[in-house]
Amino acid sequence: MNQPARLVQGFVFFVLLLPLFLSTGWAKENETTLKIGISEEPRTLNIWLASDANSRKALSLIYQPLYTRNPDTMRITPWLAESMPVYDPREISYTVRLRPAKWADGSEVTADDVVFTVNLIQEFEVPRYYSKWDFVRKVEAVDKRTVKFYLKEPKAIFTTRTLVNYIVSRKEWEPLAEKAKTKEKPLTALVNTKVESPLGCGPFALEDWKEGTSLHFTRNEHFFGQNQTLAQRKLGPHVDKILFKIYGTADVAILALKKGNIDFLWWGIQPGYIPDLKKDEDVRVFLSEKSALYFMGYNVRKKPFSDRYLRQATAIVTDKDFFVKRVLQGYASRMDSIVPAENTFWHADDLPHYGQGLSRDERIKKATALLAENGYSWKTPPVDEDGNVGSPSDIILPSGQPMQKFVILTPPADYDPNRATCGLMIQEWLNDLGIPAIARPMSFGALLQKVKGEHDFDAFILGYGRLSLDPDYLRSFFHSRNDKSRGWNMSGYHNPEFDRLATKSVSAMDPDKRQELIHRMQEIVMRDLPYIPLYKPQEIEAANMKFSGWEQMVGGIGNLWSICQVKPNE
Amino acid sequence: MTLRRLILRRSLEILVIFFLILSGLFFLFHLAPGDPVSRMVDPSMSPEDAELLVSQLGLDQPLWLRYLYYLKNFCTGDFGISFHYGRPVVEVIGERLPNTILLFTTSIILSALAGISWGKLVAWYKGKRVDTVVTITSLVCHTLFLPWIALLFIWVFAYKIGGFPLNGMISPELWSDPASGWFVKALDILHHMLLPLLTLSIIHVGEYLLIMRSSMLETLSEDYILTARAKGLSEKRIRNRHAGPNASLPVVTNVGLSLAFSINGGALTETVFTWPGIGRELIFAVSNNDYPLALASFLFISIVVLVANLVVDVLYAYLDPRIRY
Amino acid sequence: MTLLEVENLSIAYQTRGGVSLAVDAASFSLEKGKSLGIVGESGCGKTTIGMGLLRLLPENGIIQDGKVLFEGQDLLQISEDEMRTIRWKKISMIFQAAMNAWNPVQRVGEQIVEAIRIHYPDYSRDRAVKEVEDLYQLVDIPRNRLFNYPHEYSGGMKQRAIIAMALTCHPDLIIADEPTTALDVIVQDQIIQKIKEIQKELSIAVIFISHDIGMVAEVCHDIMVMYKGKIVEVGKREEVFVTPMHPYTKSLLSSYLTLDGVFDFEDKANETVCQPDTIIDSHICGYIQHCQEADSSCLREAPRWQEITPTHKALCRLCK
Repeated sequence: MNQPARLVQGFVFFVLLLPLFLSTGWAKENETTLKIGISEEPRTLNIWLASDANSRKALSLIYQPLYTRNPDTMRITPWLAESMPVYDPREISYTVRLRPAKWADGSEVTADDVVFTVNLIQEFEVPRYYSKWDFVRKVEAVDKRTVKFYLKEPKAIFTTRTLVNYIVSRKEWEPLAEKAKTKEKPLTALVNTKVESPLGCGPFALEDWKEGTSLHFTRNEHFFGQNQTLAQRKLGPHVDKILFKIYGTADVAILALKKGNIDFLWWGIQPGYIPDLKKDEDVRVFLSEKSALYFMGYNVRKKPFSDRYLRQATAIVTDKDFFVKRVLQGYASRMDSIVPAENTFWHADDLPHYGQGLSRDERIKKATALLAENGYSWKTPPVDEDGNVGSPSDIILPSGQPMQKFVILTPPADYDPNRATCGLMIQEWLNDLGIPAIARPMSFGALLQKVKGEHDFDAFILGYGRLSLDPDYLRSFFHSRNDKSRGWNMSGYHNPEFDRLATKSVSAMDPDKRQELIHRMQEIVMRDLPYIPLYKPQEIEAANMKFSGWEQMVGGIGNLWSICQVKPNE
Repeated sequence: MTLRRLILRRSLEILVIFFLILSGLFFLFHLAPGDPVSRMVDPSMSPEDAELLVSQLGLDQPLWLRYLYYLKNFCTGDFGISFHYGRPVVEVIGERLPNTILLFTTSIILSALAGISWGKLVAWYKGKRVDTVVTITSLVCHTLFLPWIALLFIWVFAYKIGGFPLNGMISPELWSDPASGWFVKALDILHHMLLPLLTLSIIHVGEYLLIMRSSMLETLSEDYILTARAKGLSEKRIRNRHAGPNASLPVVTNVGLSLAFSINGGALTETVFTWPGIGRELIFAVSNNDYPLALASFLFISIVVLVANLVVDVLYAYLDPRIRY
Repeated sequence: MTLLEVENLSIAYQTRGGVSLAVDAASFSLEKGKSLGIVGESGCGKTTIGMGLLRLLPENGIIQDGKVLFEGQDLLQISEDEMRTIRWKKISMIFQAAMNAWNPVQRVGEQIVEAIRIHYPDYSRDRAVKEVEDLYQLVDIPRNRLFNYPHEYSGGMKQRAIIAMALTCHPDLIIADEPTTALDVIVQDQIIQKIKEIQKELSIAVIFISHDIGMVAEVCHDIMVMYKGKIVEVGKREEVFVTPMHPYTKSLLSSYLTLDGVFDFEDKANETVCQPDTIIDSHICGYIQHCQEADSSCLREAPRWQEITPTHKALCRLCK
């Protein structure tokens, strides 16, 4: 054997021996660590820049909001605040009393910090936050633990969308903000400030961030919720440390979970992994409902899509149940409203369930009848005189012109195979009616540019994976004011009646009254169908049997309640 | 003396090539048909962010001025701020690049050494069974689909057999323990590096082995091999001292050439193993429309490839005295 | 005293078309300190004999039969390891095409030192270098060129360095295979003179393999002419050169530039007596197609060795 070969072999031999003396654990006795797998490196720990899921997960352990969602009712419940806010309709103000709490460095959380946070967001117009605070006229610290918010006008979303935002420490951010203000572009400077150890008051504090590998959190001794009972839950945390490990691919992360390298995968799993995971005795799979919406949208600015009956016919032939069962393997449910059914308070029940329970032929017949009634015709209709379903010729519009081919844009299969498949199936179902639709996958960025930016499209399929629990998005999606480039109203839906109800819902401070308005809005949308709701996948998560106490709520077990409650099994 | 001249000359050439790459990238990013703003600006970005980007890129300036700014920024080491991380791009790359260099150089050196020494032996036993088996295996290895083999290794070595970490570069538990000394930490990195190393090497070893084998067969028919035999040298000595060094020259050339092509494989390996390197960052930057990070990653990768080629050239000159002139 | 005795040596090459005989039952002997020239056109098997003696035939070369007795020991019977100790130490070589005989990536001096230290493992490097320096003096290469690379040498220097290397282990026999081809005429002459000089001085036996009979005649005591794998004429230099017997030898000599500078332009090699398609029996004379003197009996009977003098023989029926 010659020199290099011996070298190579020596090296290989040496490395093969490594596991022998590295495998002995270094983990300290009597210290428990919860190891969590995440998909990508968090973008940043600067709260003003963090928009990606993984940064938000990391920050949720650190920064805390005044109110949060009750896991049982999904209504807001006091968190950093001591009690529910007190509304004074006369001066349009909310008064919030803070719980005695300390930042991780031991200093007190005061009303002053809350005032500072709001002022900072308003002063810098921090994107993503500003829109939630811009209707707040003034914030004032009444005493050390009492804050009063004065609104410009009554806003129903103030408690559900605004008060659930994080509060930052004045001590941490005042110097950084002052420094940013001296720069040419203060907002850019603020957003790009490097934050190495964010100061929060949550159950954990960041100890170390190993770039590209992991994040370490240690328990915050000053956490205000410790040993308290909030929302009928006795809080811990019962683990000393939390470790976020970064896995680039789902396959490896699943292996790590099965092997016990991580205890929980904070990451939605594809249904394909479930049979394998269920076989593993050490792993528990959690299926949770998700506040999500996957839908098909028409460009109602354009003919013939501006015709409500064409959209209704589309909804009738679209077999959502078939799709949920066959393509999503049952790990999803059909949607018949823009507001998910799990959002029980806001979801309207008595809406049309287009085509539900019908066979394929029945769907075609029903849709054909609806179209024929409203002026559409065919040389060879989809259903002949004897009631047999056949292959139709191209459809002719009420105006007498044949319908042009049109394109349903979908994200590409590598981005989301389900949406791409769904597009193809809808294409087939529409072709059964003689409607010449073609599904075309398009890169996500380009799709958004066409649909949201340029409004240059016929139809599209998109989804919202995390829809907020407050239904204010109904207004965003369909209010005519949002029909602008990059606006939320992508379909270009205009309905003065809807606009009126939507505007009213914003300032409806009485929940019951607002509920009624929201229900009415759903009815209108489901009649006009600018968006046809399709399905809502379940959140599939998996954790190891070593820990128990996971809090399963809408959106899954990856939430702060779980973090505060999980404990190692004896 | 002449070696120094060679290095100097090649360095100058590299500077020119790098300047061309630098300019090429600029024009690729800026001159492709369509509106650069809509291509670079993530449509999901808020209008403020988009505007910020436009002015940060200077897209409102005429092209030649933008080009000059670009060159100036490059010379001052200013690659802008990563959209995604909100940090200077140089900082992000500074963290990632050393990891890639560590993994890559080790893999290239190992696979070249292994390819050379095994190719040498196989050529010696040409026509025998060992030759057939190894040659076919090399061909297979060379055409393997990299992510597949990476996952297979993880599954077999890290999961089924165990003993190796599934992914990453370090064990967080070990590194956060203040009791761990540098030696243990170095071992830990080595331990994590083995599977990605094996993946990258197995792809390259086959290639180098085949080149070495055919080059060795050619060399064995040279007259100086006959001289060496006539001198009464043992077969082993002829193989290692006379045939080997001469036959390995084409492999060295090939290492330089294949380096640029192995970047994509490297990026895939880094992704599957979550190795915090620049290849993974590049994929990430491209898929996240992080334009400054993507551009700088391209630039730094080309710098690494160019420097590696310089090293290969010098090594070649060292191995083959004939080209020193 | 006989140094080398070759008996009935037959060497063949395995080719795709079958086995082809390259050396057919060659027998000859060489005294200590004497020199023997093997002459013949390319492909006649002379190089094969040289390589066969050292057992350095290419992979497809097979020694079919015969003995190579070197100092009484049959080189064809000993093991490969034993053979390695014979190579260079006892029998060394000067190669044809010295350009390529050096390993291009090693310094010339290193390659010579290597030859010494393989056979004398107890020699220090300094001692070996010292010896090489002495040899360089002998072959007229400046000492400071010792550790240059081969490509830094001129053609003549490379060849002289090869000679120096051939001498390193004080061998008893040197096989010089076309030592001067590819060199220009003046350098050729210098090299020939050098070999001659060294041979005389150190009294080393030399087998000189060349296609150039004149050159061989200048250096060697004995001359052996080969044609198509067979030895066709053997004799002392004067005998073969002055009174060539075999028609092939005659034709070789006819194309040789004579000493007085007049070229004897009698090239008859292209004239043939036989029809080209005549099937030639391997037993009959191989030269018959080109032979001027052949008659019909040559077509029927195998050639016989004719002894002209006790030292001079030719393989031809017609030679008297």
